Amino acid sequence: MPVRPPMAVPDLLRQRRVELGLPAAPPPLRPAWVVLGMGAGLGTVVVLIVLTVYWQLLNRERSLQQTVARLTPLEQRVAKARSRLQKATTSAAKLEQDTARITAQLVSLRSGSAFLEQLRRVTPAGVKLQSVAVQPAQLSISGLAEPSSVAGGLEQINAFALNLESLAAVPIDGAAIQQAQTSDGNPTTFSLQVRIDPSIKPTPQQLRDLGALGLAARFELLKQKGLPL
Amino acid sequence: MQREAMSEALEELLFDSDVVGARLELLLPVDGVYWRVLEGVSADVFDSDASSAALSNGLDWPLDPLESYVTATPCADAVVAVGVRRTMLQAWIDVVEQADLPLQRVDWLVSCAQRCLHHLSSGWTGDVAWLFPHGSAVRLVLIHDGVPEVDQTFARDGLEPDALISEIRRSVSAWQTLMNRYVPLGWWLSFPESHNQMFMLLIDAARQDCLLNQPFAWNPAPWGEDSGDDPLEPLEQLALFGMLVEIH
Repeated sequence: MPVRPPMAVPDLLRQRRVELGLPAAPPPLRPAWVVLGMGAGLGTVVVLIVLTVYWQLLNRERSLQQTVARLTPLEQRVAKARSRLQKATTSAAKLEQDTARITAQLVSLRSGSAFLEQLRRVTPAGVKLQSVAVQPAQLSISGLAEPSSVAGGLEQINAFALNLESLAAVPIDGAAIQQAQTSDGNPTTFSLQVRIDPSIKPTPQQLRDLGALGLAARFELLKQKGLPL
Repeated sequence: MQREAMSEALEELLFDSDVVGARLELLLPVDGVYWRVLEGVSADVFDSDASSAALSNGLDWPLDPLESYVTATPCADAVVAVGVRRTMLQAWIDVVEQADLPLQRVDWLVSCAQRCLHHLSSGWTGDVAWLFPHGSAVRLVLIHDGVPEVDQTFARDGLEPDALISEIRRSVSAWQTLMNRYVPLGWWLSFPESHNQMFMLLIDAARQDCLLNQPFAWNPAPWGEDSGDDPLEPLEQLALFGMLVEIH
């Protein structure tokens, strides 16, 4: 059977398309295989992109794992060093604390000679001390006060208390007369409580003046070594 | 309301057919569309407003040149012009737009079926006489070399079959006499099988006339709930098969 050439196909939308400013002929219909090919192509591109990204991520992961493996011994060394440093820092701090404590103890001890010299200087001539008890923040003194031609026993005790309060380590009103007893013709017995401010330390010069040469030298040596005082 | 219902039906049809995103080709029904064969003009005669208006006035058809859309296609040595009222085409465009579908092309049932007939009768060297129903009437199209030279409608109201056959014969004879062509006629009858029998009398075996009708290799099933009550007419089937042939 002979095949006739196909007849032209009319399109009643042609004039309307021209009126609307569109091309007179509609866009050609794409055969199914072209659409399928485009879809398959797009799908292939997407799959390729995904595979490429996946491959790059795998490479990146492998590279990172190698870096981790390479750095692990170093990290362990760093951890050990950090631990040692921590221990060293702790022991250094402890040593510093011990040093500060020992230093404080070294210089906090009151010099017996300086104390006696100081006590001698503030004790009036008519006052005799019978007992002196030294505690870190307190002195307990008991003794006798002989009345003299210029002052009675009680006056001398008061003068003694005032002299004690004039010392730098004794706060104002730090000397309190606990008890004073007098009888005719006898010396006045008394007892005193003196509060001491332990934070006030004598300077090496004061110690030297009071004859405590050993403690003064210790002070100066510690200061030279840079230890906290 | 009718437009909305048709839009919804179109949407539903394309969705059910799983061809979402397809472009639509529309075949306008037989009524309201007209055709003429023009000689001595080119197929782009209706592309220009001036030549279109000048020509449309002489076409002797019920279409107002300013209120119609016309398209022309070459056909042998002539041009076949197909025209439709703007309002009718716009109504169909609205239906398709409402269904939110892209419209690729608009054609006419008769011209599409005629092209299919031309394709199917490619082995026939004589002229072709094509009969199809148009409402209650019968429409005769006489085709020579693919060009529909005669299109005549015969009313059947109150007319005996024999009288109708005689009228058709007279028209055919007049055409042959006018064209001075006495070649065998191939008949294509686009009626249901029962009606075809009535028109078999037109086939004059003595003049080597023959029936060109042939069964279609493709028979689409109508779609829709009540489609069983409204099967495809032979003319519709011929046109749809023509579209299928043209697409492939």
